[in-house]
Amino acid sequence: MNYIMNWIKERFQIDEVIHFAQKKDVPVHHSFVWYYFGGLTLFFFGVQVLTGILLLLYYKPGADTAFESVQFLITKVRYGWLIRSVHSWSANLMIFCAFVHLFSNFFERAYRKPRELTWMTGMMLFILALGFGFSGYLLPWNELAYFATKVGTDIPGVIPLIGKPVQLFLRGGSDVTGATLSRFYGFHICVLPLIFLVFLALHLLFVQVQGIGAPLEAEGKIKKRMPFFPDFAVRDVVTWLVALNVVVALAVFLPWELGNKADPFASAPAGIKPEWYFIFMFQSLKFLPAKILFFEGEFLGIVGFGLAGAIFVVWPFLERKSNKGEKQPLVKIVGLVSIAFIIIMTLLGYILG
Amino acid sequence: MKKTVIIAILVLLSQALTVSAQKPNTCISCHKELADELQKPALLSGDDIHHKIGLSCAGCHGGDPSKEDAEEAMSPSKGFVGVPGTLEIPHFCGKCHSKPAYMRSSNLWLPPDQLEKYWTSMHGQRIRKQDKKAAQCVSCHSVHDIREVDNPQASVYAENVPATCSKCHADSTYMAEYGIPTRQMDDFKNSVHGAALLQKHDTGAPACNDCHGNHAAMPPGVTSLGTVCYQCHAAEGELFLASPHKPAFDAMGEAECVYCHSNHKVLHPSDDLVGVEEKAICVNCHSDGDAGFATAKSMKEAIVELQSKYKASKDLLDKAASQGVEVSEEQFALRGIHDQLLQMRKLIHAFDAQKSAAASDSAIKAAGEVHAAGMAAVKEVKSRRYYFAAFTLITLFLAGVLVMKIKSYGR
Repeated sequence: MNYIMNWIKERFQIDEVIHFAQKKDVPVHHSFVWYYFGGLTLFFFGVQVLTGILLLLYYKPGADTAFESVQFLITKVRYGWLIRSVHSWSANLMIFCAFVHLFSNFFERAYRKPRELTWMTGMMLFILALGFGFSGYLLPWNELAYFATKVGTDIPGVIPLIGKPVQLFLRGGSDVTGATLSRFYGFHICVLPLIFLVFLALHLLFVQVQGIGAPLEAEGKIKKRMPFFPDFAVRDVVTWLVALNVVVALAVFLPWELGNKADPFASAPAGIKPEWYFIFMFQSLKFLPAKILFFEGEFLGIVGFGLAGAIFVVWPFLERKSNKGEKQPLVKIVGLVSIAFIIIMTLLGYILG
Repeated sequence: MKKTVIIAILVLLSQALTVSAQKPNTCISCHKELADELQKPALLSGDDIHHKIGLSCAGCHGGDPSKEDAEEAMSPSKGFVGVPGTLEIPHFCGKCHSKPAYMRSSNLWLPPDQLEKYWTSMHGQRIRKQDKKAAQCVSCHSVHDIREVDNPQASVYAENVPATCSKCHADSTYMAEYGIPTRQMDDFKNSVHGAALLQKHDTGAPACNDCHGNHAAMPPGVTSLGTVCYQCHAAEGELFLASPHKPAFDAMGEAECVYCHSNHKVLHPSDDLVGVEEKAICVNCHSDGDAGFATAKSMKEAIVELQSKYKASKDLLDKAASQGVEVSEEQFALRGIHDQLLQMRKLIHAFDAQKSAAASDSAIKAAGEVHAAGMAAVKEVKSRRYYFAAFTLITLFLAGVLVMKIKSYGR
């Protein structure tokens, strides 16, 4: 071991890196538990990359081959069912952990100076993760995915001027077809991962350079700091082991269903819904009246969600009181209202069907 | 001046056109003011198909509907024929409905042979014998509110035909003098055909006229009864006609399909109909020791074996699918076995033990393969859980080691 380390040290100046890692620590406080969700999101992303690469070995994009190749994978390929189910469940758990990570940092005001860019890159990663979910959902080319994508790609179509070109670009034509599948495949395995990796690298770099921040309430009261290596890292690995067990349990006991092959000529089956993390937006758009003043209700809804997203991205520049260490009650209100809205709309989406 | 004349001519022309478009129909306006039977035609005629295609009252009854005076409007000199008597109705309707050129000109493309067929029917023959109780056009199609046959409100719409026929045929008093049964409607309602037509609203299912004919309605005789059923059940018919039962039934004077399946009360056939058990029909004629008895026994055994294999395979696949194993290919193969089971039931009509055995052998072999796949799928579920248990133990052990490590840091 020493021989290898010496061999590396002779060629690279890793002493500084080792020194940096030894110095790195985590503040211990009452909200310490939320730190694990960043690591868990990263872990699930790793699972996604690994299982995604394995799926690529058999997946054949195309309206005539996609469904059949997934069916072949889960029935004929040894452990193919496990890889696909883990990929699907892990994707959902990744989004869930990202939600928790996002809101925990929001309530802790972790976005305050000097970590504005860490927050913004994190928000971008979250939006990209939703893009992964949307594009990946269509890839098995089954009935539910086909019609959910049809509904999902209908939504941007209501935006004046740019709506139709955006819809045409997403679909690769006027309707959801094999051309849409090819595009989504390209987005899912190439475009989105490339952009995601850039933002992920920046996000992690900022965390390393600036260190892990403490909540505003705990600032100045931190009495204890835990070394990142090995103390926190080992704790992270324990949560990852638990997460791995949970995701495998879900894959074994509730394998992700493939359903029936998409038939563009069939009528849409009852209960078409997007993935759970889009339900709150989907349900809100359904509640909006057809016309609000001079505008289409759906258009205003999309603008509303776009604005809300944009506000969250630039939130560190809108909420400046935290930078001065002052309390801003609006943060709690905005955070709690957002969570309540997401939960209520999601539940309504499932209850009302 | 010129302009004034042109405008005046145009105004007069438009008025003349308006007047001609609103040509009065005094039949309707007068009959609306009358009571009961005389008022009824005026109230009903709006929905009538004849009215809709532009045929006025005078089109059938003659007369001049433009005249205000009743005597003038209903003058025989204007061709008024009034209300036809019951026995005259077929000829009355046939004035148009038996004329091909006229029916074409109305762009209706209705067959012009209804009258010709009608005279060959039992109803037509009775009318010719001056029997006023026999059905004529109006009895089935109604009058003054006649609708197209594909209109669900029409009395002759497929789903309404049984009720229309049974107005007379289910009335035991009305039918008493003809000596024919009156429980056809009750039987039909409980039959597989009746359930499809009246409960599932499947207008492809047979109504009375599909077996008995409509304008040429006649009860099918013993010799032609099979032919009626074979219109739809062609495959069974083909097998039966080539079977040893055909000459046997002919010799006995028994109607082909009806002997086993009944006529108006055709029930959904069950596997109990065939075989040598108490409920089986085969034992009505065959007894232990004869060839037919052995054939019935072996056909039944083949069906029972395939049925049980099919059910066992289905249960296994359902169980595996409910536990998350992808078995769509096997389920597809299972559908093929179900088709073969139906095929075997159809093959009974050949009454050929060898043919049944040949069909059942291949189906039972295929069912065995699906059953084996189902067993493997269920086994797969179990093995997945065992592996998961082992995996959980490993992760728990690793997590335990790491927790001990964390504790050893003491921080």
